[in-house]
Amino acid sequence: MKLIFEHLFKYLNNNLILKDIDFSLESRKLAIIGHNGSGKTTLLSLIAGLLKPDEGYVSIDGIEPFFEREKIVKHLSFIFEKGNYSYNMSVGNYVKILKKIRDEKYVNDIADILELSKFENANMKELSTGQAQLVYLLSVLTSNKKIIILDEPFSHLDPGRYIKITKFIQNMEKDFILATQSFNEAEELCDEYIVLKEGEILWKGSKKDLYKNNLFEIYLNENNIPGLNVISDMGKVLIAEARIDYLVKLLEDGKILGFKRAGLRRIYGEINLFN
Amino acid sequence: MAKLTYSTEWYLKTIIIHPVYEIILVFSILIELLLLDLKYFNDFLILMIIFLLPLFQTLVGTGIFRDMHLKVFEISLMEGYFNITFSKSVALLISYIPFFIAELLIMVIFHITSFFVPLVLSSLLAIVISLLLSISSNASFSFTALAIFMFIFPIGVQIYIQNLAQLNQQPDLITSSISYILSPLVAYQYWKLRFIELSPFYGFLLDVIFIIILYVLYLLISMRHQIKP
Repeated sequence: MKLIFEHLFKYLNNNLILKDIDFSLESRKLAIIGHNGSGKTTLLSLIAGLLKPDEGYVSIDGIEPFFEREKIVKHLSFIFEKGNYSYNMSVGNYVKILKKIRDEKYVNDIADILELSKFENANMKELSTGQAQLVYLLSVLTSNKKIIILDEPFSHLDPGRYIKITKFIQNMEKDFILATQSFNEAEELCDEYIVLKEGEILWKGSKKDLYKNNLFEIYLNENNIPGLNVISDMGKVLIAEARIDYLVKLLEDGKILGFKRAGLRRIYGEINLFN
Repeated sequence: MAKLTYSTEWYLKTIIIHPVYEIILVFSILIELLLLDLKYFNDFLILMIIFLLPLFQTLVGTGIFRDMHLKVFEISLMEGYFNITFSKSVALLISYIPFFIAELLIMVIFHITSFFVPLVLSSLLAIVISLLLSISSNASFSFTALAIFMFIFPIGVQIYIQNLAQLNQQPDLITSSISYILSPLVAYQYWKLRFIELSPFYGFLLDVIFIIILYVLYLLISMRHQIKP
């Protein structure tokens, strides 16, 4: 997908939510990361055509979402992490309706992955937040759109289901945009990243940019380990510069629990987002 | 076309699958049958105008009201703003069909079929008001506003014309027109009683024009309004 934002401003209830968003990128798997209230959902809503830019321009694959709404809903599918359903129908009935709209076999396959049969008799009104999230996911994953937009889609899922679903999403043919607060989710699933804070883009880059430094996230077992050039101290996790052989030795000695190349955590540290 | 059929089915299910819909439908028809002897005709008419019809109209209209997150979900599911906008209207119209059939049968049996046209116009007005209110993303607000409109309009028109009648006056052209717009049934009832001069032909024509204007307004607004998830 090709995404273009040009000097975009968006106000909601007289509050400036997005400030001068200006970038263009081409990516198959884009993550938008930021705190609560950073403007992630508003950014996604503009891409989905639900909101109109107050100033500036946005386009995705040449489509101006709000001004070409019929086109955009045929080009992308979306779910937003909000509330429960108030429909007076069972999950099983919903799946039946979905099979009429979408490819029946595909709906069955994805319903199996999401394990919806375990609560197919439950009324949509009475689903837990996690179950509602699975039903939302079924709707978006079974669509035949080129792009899907996922706003914190896994926040209420148990680890077992999370692994199954993310595995499926990684192997999908579709492009997607994921808004999340989880570094792991973003790093596992995406190859391009935008970090938002209070409506502004503080960092933007690819996986290559993310891991280009010789910095590591080090998970401590003991405190006060010498020989590390610490960039950011997050208690039991350090962002530090170190040689790999030295880290391996620390691991063998049991002084650290593990390490990995520093990604989004480093970016957050560098741009002071932990404060 | 297939998408339109499915989205209509979706809205229809959320309206008529609701048990209250069936209960109110059967209840209103039974009450009407019990009262509809010619000597109780006025009681029947008043009960229908100020209670049963508004109750039915409010409950059916409520079936298409959605909070913001459900709207977003449905846009993605139905894959089209026009699909949703249009299928809501069709679903509402279909939901009224059993009611219209039952009412028409009752009216044929008791030879009062002239009330069928204002009844249909009242219902069409209720439909376009429900559609306009469905644009709001606050379902509780929409429900309250619809209930107020549906119950207050007929009673308001009735009280107004009755007060004028007590003073031996008749509504002028403008207030007669407004009466036809707010409650075609009440206006027609009072025309039959010679309290309103404006003939039903012009009154109903005004209703049709008003319904068309509101519907066009609904189409325009709902295709362009912003939705914040």
